[in-house]
This record gives sequence, C-alpha cells and structure tokens, in this order.
Amino acid sequence: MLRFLAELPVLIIAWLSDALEIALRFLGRIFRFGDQEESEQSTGFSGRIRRAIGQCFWFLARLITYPFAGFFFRGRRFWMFLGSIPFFVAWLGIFGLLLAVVLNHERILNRYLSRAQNAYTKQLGALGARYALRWIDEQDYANADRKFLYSLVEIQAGQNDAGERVLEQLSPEDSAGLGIAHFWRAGKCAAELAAESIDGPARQEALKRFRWHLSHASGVRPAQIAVLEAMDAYWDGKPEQAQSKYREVWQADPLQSVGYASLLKRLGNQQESVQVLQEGAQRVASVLRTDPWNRTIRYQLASILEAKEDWGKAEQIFMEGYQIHRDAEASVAYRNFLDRRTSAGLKDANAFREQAYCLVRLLRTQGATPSTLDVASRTFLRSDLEVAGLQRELNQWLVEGLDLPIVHLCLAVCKVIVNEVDSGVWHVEQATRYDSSIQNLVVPICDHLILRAAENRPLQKRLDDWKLALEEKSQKQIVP
Amino acid sequence: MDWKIGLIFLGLGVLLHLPTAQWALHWDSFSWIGIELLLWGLAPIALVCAGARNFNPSARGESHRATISSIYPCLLIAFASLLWGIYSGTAGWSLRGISIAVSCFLVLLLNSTNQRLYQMVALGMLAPVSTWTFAHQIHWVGQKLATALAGSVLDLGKVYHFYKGNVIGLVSTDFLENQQCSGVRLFGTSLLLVLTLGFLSGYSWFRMVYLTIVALFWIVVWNAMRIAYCVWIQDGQSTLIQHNFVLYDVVCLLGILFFTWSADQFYSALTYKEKDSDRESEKQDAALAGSTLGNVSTRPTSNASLLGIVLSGVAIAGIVGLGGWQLYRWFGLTNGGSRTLSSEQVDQILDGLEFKTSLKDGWVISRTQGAAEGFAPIFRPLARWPHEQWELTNERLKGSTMKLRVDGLWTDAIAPQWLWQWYGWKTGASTLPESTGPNQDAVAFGMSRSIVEEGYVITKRLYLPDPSDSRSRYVQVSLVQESVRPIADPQQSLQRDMFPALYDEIQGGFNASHSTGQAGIEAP
Repeated sequence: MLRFLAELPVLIIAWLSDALEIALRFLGRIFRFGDQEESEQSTGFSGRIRRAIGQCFWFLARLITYPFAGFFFRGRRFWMFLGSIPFFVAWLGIFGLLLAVVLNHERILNRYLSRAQNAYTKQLGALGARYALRWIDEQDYANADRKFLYSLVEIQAGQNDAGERVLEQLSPEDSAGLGIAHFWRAGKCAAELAAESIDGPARQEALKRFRWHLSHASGVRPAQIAVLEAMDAYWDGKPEQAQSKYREVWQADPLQSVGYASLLKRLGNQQESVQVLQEGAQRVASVLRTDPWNRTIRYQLASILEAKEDWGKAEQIFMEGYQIHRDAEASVAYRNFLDRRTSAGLKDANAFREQAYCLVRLLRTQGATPSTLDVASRTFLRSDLEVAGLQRELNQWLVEGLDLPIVHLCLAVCKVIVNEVDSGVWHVEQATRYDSSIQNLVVPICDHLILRAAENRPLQKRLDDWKLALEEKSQKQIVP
Repeated sequence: MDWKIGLIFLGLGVLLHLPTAQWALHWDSFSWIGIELLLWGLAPIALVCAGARNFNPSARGESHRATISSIYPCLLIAFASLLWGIYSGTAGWSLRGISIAVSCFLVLLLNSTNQRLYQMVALGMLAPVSTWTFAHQIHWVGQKLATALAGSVLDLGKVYHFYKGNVIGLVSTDFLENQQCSGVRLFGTSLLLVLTLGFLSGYSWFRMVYLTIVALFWIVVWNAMRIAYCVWIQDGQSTLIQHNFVLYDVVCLLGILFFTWSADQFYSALTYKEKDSDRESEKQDAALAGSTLGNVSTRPTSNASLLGIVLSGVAIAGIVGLGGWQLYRWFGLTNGGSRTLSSEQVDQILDGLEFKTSLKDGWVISRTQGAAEGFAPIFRPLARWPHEQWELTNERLKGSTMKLRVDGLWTDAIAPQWLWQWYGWKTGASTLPESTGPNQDAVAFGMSRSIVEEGYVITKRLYLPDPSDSRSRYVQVSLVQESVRPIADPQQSLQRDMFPALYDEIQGGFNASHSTGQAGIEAP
C-alpha cells in the first residue's frame, strides 16, 4: 500500500501525459479537416460536422494569433493588417474601459455614496440628493440603509414629502423593513393619536398601525423606544405602567422632560408636571453650562422653558445662542421662537403685556413682513377697551425702556384707533426722532390696517387722515 | 422597343414628381439633416458612377439584365411609396418612392442588372432613416448605449453625474445634457455611407452585415465620446457652454468612417487567402474574353414576362398619374388654396394664449421658462421642436400643481408615452381613450420614476387646421401632474375634467389664427 502511495505522483503524471496525448490526437484528427484542402472532398454528415468544427477552430486560432501573426504577413495582406491596427487598438480600449467600469461598479457607486454622506454632514441636502440620484435606482446597491440616507438628504434639502415617502417605503405594514424607519412611523402615528382628533374605528386603526411599527422599531436609543412604549401603555389604559416607564426614561434623560410633563398633565397630575419641567430645566441648564456651543441642548432647554410658559428665560436662552453662534440658524431659531411666543400670546385675549412685547419684537426683528402685519392687525383691530389695555401696557413698556421707537410707533397706532390722530402723529415724530428708519414701517402698517378694517369706515378714515398728516409733516420737513 | 417606351414614361413620372421632391428637400423639417439628404441623393448616383467594373454584370458573376418586365416589383414599391406618401402627407415616403423610381430609370438607361437595382432600392428605402416611424426606437436603444458608455468614461474621469433615463445630468451644476442626448447623431449618414461603400465594393451579404454591425458600434462609441466631452467641459460651469457642433459632426463622421474602414481591413486580412486573387483574376479574364453580355438574358420569353410588362405599365402609369396630380395640386395651392402653420407661428399663437376662460375654481396659470425635460429630438424631421410649458397652481386645493405642455410641431405620429420614457419614466397602461365625451381620443397614463417620483398624464394630439393635409402636422397637448406619491383617483379625475377646456382653448387659438389668414404656405 505504502509502495503504491509512494509511486502515486509518478503515476498521476503518467496518466496526465497519456490523457493529453489522446486529446491531442483526437483534436488533431478533427481540426486537420478545417485547414486542409482535401477535407473539402470529405462527404457525409460527420464529414461536414468535422469540417465545420475544424474551420471554427482554425478561424479562432487565426483570430487569437492575429495581433502577433500580422507582423509576419507579407505584401497586400501586411498593409491590411496595418490598416486594421486602429480598429484593434480602439476596440481593445473600449473593451478595457467597459471591463474596468464593470469590475469597479460598486467602488464607483461608493464614491457617490460617500459624497452624499459628506454633503449630509455639511448640511448640503440638495447636493447630497443629486449624488444619491446616481445610485438610488440601483436595485442591488440601494439597500435599506442607503435609502434611509436618501430620505435624510431629501428632508435636509427641504423635500419633506419625498423623504417621508422613502421612509414609508422603508417601513411597510406587511414585512420587516428598516427599524429606524418603523420608529419614525411609530412616532408619526403617536403624534396622530396624541392630537386626539380621531375617534372610533379610525383611532383603533391608527393604534394598530402604531403598535405594528413600534414592534419593529430599532436602530435608535432604547430610551426613545421606551417613550413610545410608555405612550402605548397610556393608550392601552394602563396609566401607572405608562407613568413608571416614562419616569425611568426621564430620570435617565432630562431631555424627555416636555414629553413626560405632557403625559402627567394628561393623567391629571398638574403639580408633578410642573415639578418635572422645573427639575428638567435645571438638569438641562447644568448640561448646557458645560457645553454652551451645543445647539441641541440649548433648544431642548428652551423648549422646556416654553412648556413652562417661562417665555422670558426661553428668549434669553435663544439670545445667548445667537450671541455665541451669530449665524443664520440661530437667527431662524429665534424667529421661530418669537412666532411661537406670539401665537401663545394672541391665544389669551387679555395678555396685553405679552402681545405688546411680541409685536414690538416682531417689528424690530422682521420688519413689515406679511406675517408681522398680520399679527399687527390682530393686535390692533379690536374693541376700544382692549386697545386701551394694550395702550396701557405699551406705556408701561415705554417706562421700562423697551425699544422706544417701536413702542412709540405702536402707541401711535393705538392713538389713531381711539380717535386721537394728532397724538398719533406726535408719537410717530417721537419714534422717528429716535430712529428715522421707522418711517419705512408706518406706511405698510397703515395700508394693511386700512385693508383689514374694511367694515369700519370711520377707522379707515382716521387711518387715512393720519397717513395724510404724516405725509404733510414729512413734506414740510423737506421743504422748510 | 418596350423598354424605350417604359423609359420615356418613367422619366416623365420622375419629372412630374420633382416639385414634390423639391418641396420635401426645402421643407424646414429637413434643413438640419443636410448631410444625410445629400448622401441619400449621392448614393444611387455613386452606384451608377462606379463605372463599368461594378456595373458589368458578367464581371461580377451576375446575370439577368434589368428589363421593363423584370423590374415590376421595384416599380410597384415606388408607386406604393408615393401613394402612401401623398395620402399620409409624409415627405419621407414620397422621397423613398421618388428615389426608387429614379433607380429604376437609371438601371434601365444604363442596361444594368436586377441585382444592382435591388441594391439601389434597398438604399432608397433606408434613406432618409430619420423619417421612418420606428426611428425613435432605434435612437432610443442607441442613445441608451451611448449614454451608458459616456457615463463609463465620465466615471473614469471622476466627473460626478446621474442619469434621467437617456439623459445625463451633472451633480455640480443644474444642467441636463439633453442636447447631445437627444438621439444618435450621424446614424443615418454613417450607415448609408458604409452600405454604399459595401455595395460599391461588391461585398457579400455576410460581410455587409459585419460592416453594418461594426458601423453601428462605432456610431454609438463616437456619440458616447461626444456626450462625455460636452459633459466634461460643462462640469463645474454655471452657464451653458456653446459648442461648435458642426466641427463635432465632421470629426465624429470621419472617426466613424475611419474605424469602420479599419474594421473592414481587419476582415480582409483575417479572411485573406493567397489563392483568392488568382482565382478572381482568372474569373475576370474568362468573363472578359467571352461576349460581355453573351450570357445575359435580354428578352422576355414567357407569360411571366407578359405579366411583368402589364404590372410595370400599371405602376408607371400610377407614378405618372400621381406626379401629375401632385403638380396640379401644387399649382392650386400656390394660388392661395390651402395654408398651414409654421413652427414660428405656432410659437406666436401659444404665446398669445391666456387661458382665462378655461381656468376656474382658483386655478392660476403661469408660463414656465426653459422646461428641464424638453429637447429637440434629432430623429424627428423638424429643424426645431417648440416646447411650451405652463404651470397651474391652486392654493385652495392645498397648493395643487399641474403642468400644461405643448410639444410639436410633429409629423409622424408615434406613441405619446415616448417622451416621458426618454427621460426615464416607466409608463403604465393607458386608461383612455374614450369613444365619446370631452376627452375623446385623448390618452391618459400613470407613470413613475426613481423611488419617489409619480406622475399622471393626459394627452391628446391637436392637428393643425389644414384641410388639404389634415394628417400631416400636429402638436401634442398634455396636462401633467407630478408628485412624490401616486396620483389618486380624485386628482386624476380633476385633471381629466380640466383638460378639455384647456385643449379647446389652444385649439381655438389655432383656428382663429388660421381663419384670420396668418398661416403661411408650407406644403402641398
């Protein structure tokens, strides 16, 4: 046995050489026909087959050896060979190009993917979406994670609908999908349920969808899922379980203060809700002190303060943020805050001090924009009693030194509304004495109020008179 | 004697059709394909001028001299082409018919063979390629390949781009290369030249097929290189760069022809046998030694020949008759008979539309400048392709938007979906046309692209008022809704309800313009 094993390599070589010889003999018999004249005389089916195979073989042999054999051609054939070189070279170049692209297909798409990621991190959503256009339709390449990136860049580019459509596709209601997309869908369902605008079967259906997506949610911090689970328990009629679960989350993460306070409020526990906001604000404020450049923490703290209706401190937080960052994002955040504060102020008809403050700040920061003019008409065009209350608070702001030119302008409008046009003119004069640019606000406000007070002819007339008086005054100043 | 009579009448028929040919060649629709048309005219002449070597039947081993009785299939094809061209108002078929009739005339005049005539007829039928109704499908496939190859080149050059169907867009600029990606350039011209070269050289059919495939390959490659170059130059530039496209045409044509010739050399070298040349010369010598036309049949000897003479006579009579009728019609029209609109006048009429009566319920319309997904396809027989677009918005309906677009003037009717398919939209099944009602003959279909683009289109052809030639020219009026979500049934029905009024107003604009006599003389 051992002897056989020792001879085995020699035997294998011998077998291989025998097989090679047999194959060559066989092939030689076949291919001889393709290149020999006498083969043309071979008849019968097998003869024709052999001839065809032989011709194919020799044609392939000529084709393969052509680039080398061509240099040994003579006469006219050599010139033909030279003429065919451009074709051969170009064809090989094209073939090589395609081969290189096919072999590097994934690497090329990876380039676009990394560019899209890079654009997303630099907040260039529109550019990221363009890079993503290259691979988003590639079935094999655009997996769920990459489609999720696409949804993010679309949302960042302002195409919220497109981004949401992708997220909906990634969180189907009949299969697994992507965990983070399911989390997003669960959050969306939770917002619908929290709005409490749906009832009956529609609510049951929404609840069912919410639970489906929640059961498939993943890819986020456990605390984020726990919050939704707490809400699930609440909607399932288990308030203790919901509260304990949310408390656990809140204790670990003070950024959940607003949500937890909202739950407590729903459960009728108003006092604890206020305490949660108070404690949450303190904890988040201490975090912010260690990292004042962290926008997320700053906005979270502001939102807790907004929930507490501590608008003054919230504004202070935003103003600090603007002083630190001094960029468009901080400016937009402050404007959005001011809009929210104004909306809240206008909800309470008697919150004159708050309404006066918001109007003054809006006029100062945004000028005579359509939204500001809308707030102005909603603030001024009210009953005389309410305007008197507003006037009182504006006077108080005047004493406290809040933006004197704008406060004078607002007082001027109030005076015109309560039929004191001369006093209105005087207040405008005072305002322009402090800040001549106030002139640019007077006409738009006046025109807008005239337009809105369509059913109050006397007021329209007073506003017209006021406008005329101001124009006369300004002309007199120009032509002494 | 019969051939002389046939020749005279055929010559008369050709002469009578010259005004039609002149109209077709001078029509603005063909002005941009000058090279192709020139070669279309040159190809049969080149065949004839190839001289005795190629037209000597015995030298090529060909027999069967062409006679009046033997060329009746070609004459019937010529007659049918002319008839269809006049009936449908398509200049392409008229040109094909005339070209075949001219081929028959030349072959008879020069005592050539049937085989040579069939080759000329094949060339005549092929050209001009752009007038075939399936031209857009050929261009669609060719453009797809060229765009993919151009994209590969750009990938190697690290030029970041994306595809919208057959059109390449650049990441760096808001720019779609829809000028170079509007069809395979020089397709007809190159193919015609290569085939003419093949016929002149007397190649076998197998070799002709090989040359055709090779030519198609190089057409795609050179178009791809051209696209890649234009995109590469445009990359990072905020304004559209102007190119010398005539120079590009010339370079590409020379490139295609050179590499096809080189491929032909490759074939020759690969299949070259030393004995071939000896055999060929022996064959030629033998042929020249004998009577040149000794073995060629010249006389009709059977009933089949009689039938041939009758059919040829019918065809020639038809050609002459059609020519006379066309001539009569041509003079009638120049005396102020029928008028139709030019593409510039279509622009003016569309500019004047305000859609005040057709828009209600809070819809507001505004003109859109430079629609991104519009281009001049090179396979439509038009010098330019007006593309007008308006945007309709409605604040009351949660900011709903629609696009009204008018594409045309067109001549040959093809499926309305092709335009959207060119830009990568996957179109669904048509849900109309309705046999009655305001949306009669309109076509509607849903479509989708990418993973978030959905659309719904309702479209209908609007034939221009021209009583003499009502089938020839039309514009495509479409109302389009695009969204990131599928267009639901209520939105679709809203679109279908709005469409007839808009269509009627556009039609009214054309009718009013026609009745006030603004239209100019365009075609017989």
